Amino acid sequence: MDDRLYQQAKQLICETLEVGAEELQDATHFVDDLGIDSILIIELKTLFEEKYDIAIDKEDLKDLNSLNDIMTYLTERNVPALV
Amino acid sequence: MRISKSVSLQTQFRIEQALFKGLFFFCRSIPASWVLGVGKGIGTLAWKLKARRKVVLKNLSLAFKEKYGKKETAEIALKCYQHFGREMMRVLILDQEAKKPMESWIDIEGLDLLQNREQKGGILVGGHIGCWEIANFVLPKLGEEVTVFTGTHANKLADKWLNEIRSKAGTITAGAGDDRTELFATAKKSLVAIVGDQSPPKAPIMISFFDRPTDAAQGPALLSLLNKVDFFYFSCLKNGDRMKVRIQKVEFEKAETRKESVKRLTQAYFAVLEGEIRKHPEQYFWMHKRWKHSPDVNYGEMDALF
Repeated sequence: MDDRLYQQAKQLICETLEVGAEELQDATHFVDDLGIDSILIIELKTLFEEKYDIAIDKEDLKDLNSLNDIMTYLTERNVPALV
Repeated sequence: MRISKSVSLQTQFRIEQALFKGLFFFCRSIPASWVLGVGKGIGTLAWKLKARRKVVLKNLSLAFKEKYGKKETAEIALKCYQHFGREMMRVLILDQEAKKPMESWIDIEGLDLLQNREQKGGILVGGHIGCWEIANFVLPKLGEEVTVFTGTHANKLADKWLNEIRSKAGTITAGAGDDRTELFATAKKSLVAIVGDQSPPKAPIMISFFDRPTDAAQGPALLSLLNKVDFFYFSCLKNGDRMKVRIQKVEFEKAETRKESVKRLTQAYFAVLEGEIRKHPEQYFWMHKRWKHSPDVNYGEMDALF
């Protein structure tokens, strides 16, 4: 796993969801554990798309529920970390 | 076993839909005043049959505490049943009612606020008060493109039928199972209407409603804040023989964090709703267990109370 990509993804998630880094473990579920509304997950999707120039399919969005899920998604698509 | 259960549920849904359609066409063959009269009668019957009576009385006592005595509370509750019996029947003829010139039966307050909004988008949030279905018919007539976010009924056939009636009026409907990405984008360019006062299935925030900790959905406030569009309160109340639509911009003080802003905006919306309920308690939908997730409320204690 690209550590820089991991740190960038974690920071973006923490900033968008307004949660502390200590609250966001790799497997923390955005909705079940953090009480995040699905509207905010859509905002997160938009920010990832803009930042990494990718298009996240609506169907895939349902499976992106944690930092782990997002990292797997980005890694499988060979998304590089930003320099 | 599972297959036979699913088949019997489908049969039940088909029967429900057939009854609904039958009632729909029957209502078209009699004068509107009769339809509403029958509705009021159904409400009275439901009260006499004690359908959810304990929930209604418990909710009223939770909301108003000592303000009303036992007799007054029962009177409000009966009026509430009659109101919703009548309004339920009105929905069946609403597309016909809406053909009448609007000024002949509806008064609108605050329309200028909506028409003079700075952004094209906007969030209109109502509550389960009065006759919220009227929004489907009033707003398109005002030249506004509106997407109504509706709850979905277990009976998908009845849902489809009801949504067809709504779309005939000119509204676009989006259900709970629909793509929320679309809804998010829609709120930027046109109005999105939501009835936002029920317990959310997921991700609630706690606000105060009738001085009681109450779980509330953050979706409407988030849609407004993230899209930077105005948040309006919308209601349609029965006012004698006429209906009164009220639109009010919900004002709140923005906080440093979005989380806190969501809470403040949601609280401000609930405060407006509560004010309206206090004036018209008989027009609020007290039939659902609104405080079932509140820490100090136990609906199991209802028998001891009534």
